[in-house]
Amino acid sequence: MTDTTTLQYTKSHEWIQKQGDLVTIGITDFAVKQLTDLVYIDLPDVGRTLDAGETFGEVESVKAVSDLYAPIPGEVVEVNDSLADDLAALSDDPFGRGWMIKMKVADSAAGESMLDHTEYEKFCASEEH
Amino acid sequence: MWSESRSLVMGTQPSTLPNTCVLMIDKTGRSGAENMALDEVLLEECLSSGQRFVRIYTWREPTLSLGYFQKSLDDVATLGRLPIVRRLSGGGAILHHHEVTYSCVVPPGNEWQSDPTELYRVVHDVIIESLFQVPYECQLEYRKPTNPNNSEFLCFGRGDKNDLISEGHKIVGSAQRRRRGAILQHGSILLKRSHYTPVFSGLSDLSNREFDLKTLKTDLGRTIAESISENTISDSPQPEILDRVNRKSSSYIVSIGDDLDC
Repeated sequence: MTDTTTLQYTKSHEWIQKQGDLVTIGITDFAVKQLTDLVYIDLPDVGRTLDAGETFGEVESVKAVSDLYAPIPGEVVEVNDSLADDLAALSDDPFGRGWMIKMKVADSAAGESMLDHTEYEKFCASEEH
Repeated sequence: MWSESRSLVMGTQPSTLPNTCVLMIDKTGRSGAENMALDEVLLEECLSSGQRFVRIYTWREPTLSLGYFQKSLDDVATLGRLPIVRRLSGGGAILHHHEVTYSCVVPPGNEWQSDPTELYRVVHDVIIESLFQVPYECQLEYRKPTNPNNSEFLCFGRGDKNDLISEGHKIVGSAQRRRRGAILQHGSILLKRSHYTPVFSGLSDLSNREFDLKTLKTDLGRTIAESISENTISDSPQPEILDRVNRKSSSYIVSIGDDLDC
């Protein structure tokens, strides 16, 4: 079980978990709840280099396609290919089995301006009202 | 009109009139690729300026638009040789023939941010209201809640709770693209049965009446724009917008044999 208080978040509802120069990226339970029934996902190929804020994939739910954004720059080194056939993992365990990509980052300080858990919870509360 | 709209579309203070919508009603049909590219350019404009847009348009020739994730073209052959484009939005394929399409774009921070699916209801509610009035007098209603049927290739063969139906026939279906908090929503209003898809009836078939397309487009444009904004300004796409459309449009064209991996 991932300790969500140790993660960092974006206002577009991505989360990252840093382990040295390796960063795991996914979308939050709040985002999954907003998206409701997910039917398709498209993720990047390993080796792709992403800038911060660049689209790295798309998800479809209720006939709506939403973009996914890389919170920090880096190179994609691993992709959760099983998600396409098991989108329930995103709903059931968005911070664990629902991870999307892993990136190698050059800048160890990348992501320091992202929201911490408390800030993200406040942001979500403000979005709901 | 242009100078007023220009400041809204390109201006540096998009929040000056946050609830003003630019309404574009196309007089003639564009190609499928142009229609899809123009919707995307308006989404980009909305993201950069905060401007809301509504478009009402038709298609120059019968055209099939595929949902963003529809990769198989196995079912296309049964419809004959038609131009094919890929939409930015999801859902099933739509045959754009004897129909009217609307699109609307709202910026980040919009009223439907916490649940963007509510925008389907906002727009569909005013379509119900608009088409109930004289001279249309059509009774549309939401499909009863049911398990979504997403397996059919064509959108009008699918069903979900936001569809508008008349006498059991699906008449209106909409889909969205969400980008950085902005929403592009477009939808198809089926007016008449197409010989390409004779199984789907349109409003005219069900009411045994023909509708004046120009009046219908004007009425739909006005009511949809009023549903998402407090003020409406009528305009048409300006040259620099059309330049961007021209640069993008070829990317929307799908050819049989294309690798459709998204």
